[in-house]
Amino acid sequence: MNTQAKHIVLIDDDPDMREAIRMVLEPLGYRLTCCATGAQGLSVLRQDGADLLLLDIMLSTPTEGIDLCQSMKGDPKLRALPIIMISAVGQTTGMDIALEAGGGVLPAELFLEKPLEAQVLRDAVQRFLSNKE
Amino acid sequence: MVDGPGPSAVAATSPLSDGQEPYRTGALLSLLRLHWFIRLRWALLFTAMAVLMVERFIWPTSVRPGALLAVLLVLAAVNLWWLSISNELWKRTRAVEVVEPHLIRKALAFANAQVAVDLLALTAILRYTGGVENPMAIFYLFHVAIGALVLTRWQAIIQAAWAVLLYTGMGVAVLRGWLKPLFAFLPALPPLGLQERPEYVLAAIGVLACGVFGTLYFTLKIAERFDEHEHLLRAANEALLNSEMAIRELQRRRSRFMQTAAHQLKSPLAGIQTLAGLIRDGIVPEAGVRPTCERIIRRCADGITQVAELLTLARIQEADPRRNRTASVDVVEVIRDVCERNRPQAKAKQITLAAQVGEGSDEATGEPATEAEGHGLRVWLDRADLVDCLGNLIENAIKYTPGPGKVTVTATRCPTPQVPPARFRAPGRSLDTPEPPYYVQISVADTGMGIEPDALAGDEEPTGPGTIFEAFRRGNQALAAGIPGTGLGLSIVREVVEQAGGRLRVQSKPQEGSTFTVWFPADVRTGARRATLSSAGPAAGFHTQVPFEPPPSRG
Repeated sequence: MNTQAKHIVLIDDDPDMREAIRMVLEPLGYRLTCCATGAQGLSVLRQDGADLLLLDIMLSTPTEGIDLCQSMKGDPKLRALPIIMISAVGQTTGMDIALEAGGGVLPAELFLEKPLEAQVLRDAVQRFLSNKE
Repeated sequence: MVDGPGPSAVAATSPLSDGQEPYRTGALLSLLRLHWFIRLRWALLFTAMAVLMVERFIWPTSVRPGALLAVLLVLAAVNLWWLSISNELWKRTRAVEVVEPHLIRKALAFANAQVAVDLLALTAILRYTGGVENPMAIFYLFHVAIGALVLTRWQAIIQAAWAVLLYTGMGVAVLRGWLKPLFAFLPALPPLGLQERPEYVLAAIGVLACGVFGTLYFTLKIAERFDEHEHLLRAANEALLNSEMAIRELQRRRSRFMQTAAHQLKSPLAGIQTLAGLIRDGIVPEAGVRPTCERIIRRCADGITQVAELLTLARIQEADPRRNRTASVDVVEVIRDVCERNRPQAKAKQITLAAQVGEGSDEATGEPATEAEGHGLRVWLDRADLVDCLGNLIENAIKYTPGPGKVTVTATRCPTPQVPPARFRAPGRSLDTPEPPYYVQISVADTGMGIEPDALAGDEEPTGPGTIFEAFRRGNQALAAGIPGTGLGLSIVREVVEQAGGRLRVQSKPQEGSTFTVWFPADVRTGARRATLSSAGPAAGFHTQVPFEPPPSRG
């Protein structure tokens, strides 16, 4: 285990989901920053950086999550940041939204559909953060 | 006897007349279908040649002049030339999106040339096959008729004059001996000598001229009718295409709405399941179980609110647009009711909720208050709709104003507001509703957090798609502040306003506050009249909104 806690940024407009994810991830020793809007999230990412981004697709607009990924692509510091998308829409709908927003493919390494199972989330996060070692 | 170029030297299926640009393109395209007529001319030339040969075979003694053959051959050569021009024009027209005026002029010149040359060829053929004695002169009429259909009015008249001139020239020249008299025609049908009798020649020319100009007149009249009908048809077709596009757009919006609605309904359920799963798996610490249960209950309530608001939205959307026109509601009373209902929430946040209703305070109209009982502000709207509309605006104002603050509701009567009408998107609604004489203006102003400009800048209009008036769309500041909401309230407001033929405006400055203003058509009847006409619909000057009717026919 490395000594410095890994930083995970979560962007989700749903306060309950933020709370639930916090309850699952914080006991594992991660540092978690929760944001309700894409703009908030982006400023946290730019200031503090992160090791992993958990991102909802539909925020204040149906494509805000996708738009955020696109603006991250243009940022050399954030381009390589792994993203796990978490959405109540299924992966197919998510891909449709991504296609419509002009991004083509779903710009994420992994797609998790809500409702979340604690174990699934845990596994996914650990996979990404241990791979990076 | 078939040895002329035939009737269909030039023709097109649709008329082309002066100054009617919209259907030039279609007319030009049919003009360029002259390919077909050129081919027909080939067929007739070959037929003429064949007839000459058969004639030679049946009456070996008959001698046709070389000149006649020469005319046919010249016509064949010219036709070959026409073909290349036609190909060229066709290619150029196909290459451009919009047919340019110079292409139209060229196509018209081309058609004119064909008619003129065909008339000349017909005259030459007549000259060598009996002159005025040959009844084939009837073919002039075909050319004139076709010219009237294809060419502009004046061009057709000139072509008709050209036909009469040619025929007269031939008749007179033979009569006066300027042209050699006819050679032996068929042995079985010797010349009758009519072409040398002035009275017959004059009569033939007169009859032909009458025929030509009569045909011209009637064909032009028919072409005019064609034009009108084609115009109407095109207009109807365009309207159909437009409404089809509107329906497609509406369908797209509906399915997008369904998708968003399903997502939004799934969200609380997903939250509930996730939280319940955490409790089950023992991830929630002992002390956190109760708050988490509270969260779950709140989430259930959220879901129920969302369903209720969706049902409200559906009720308003499904409503008959005419419904609002048969009943009016007292604005002052509704404002009082809604304010009363929201006072506890306002008080809890130290927000002053003030209602200023200017009963009859319509200095803009210069009219005194019309209501003896003091209820001068009535609008054509269902009570339930107005309650939903104002309820949402006032609840929002309180919700998004951090206390201490102030929410002010005002209502006044005013003439037509300088705000564009809320767009009618649903098909089947009249677009040109008559303007009501007065409106009632209701504004809800708060001293709250305001709305960021992004959430008010729609793709098309300040209250349209992409703004907070779109279903499920919420302002970023509201989300950042963690204020709960379904994102449906303002779509309900907009829907009520659209259905009532009202207007809607929002002015907002972040951190200073927002003012939402709605205008509804005012019911200007007096209390006594309203009592007798309570179900009779709106007063004079503002009529029942009628379902879509096609525009009156201009034909």
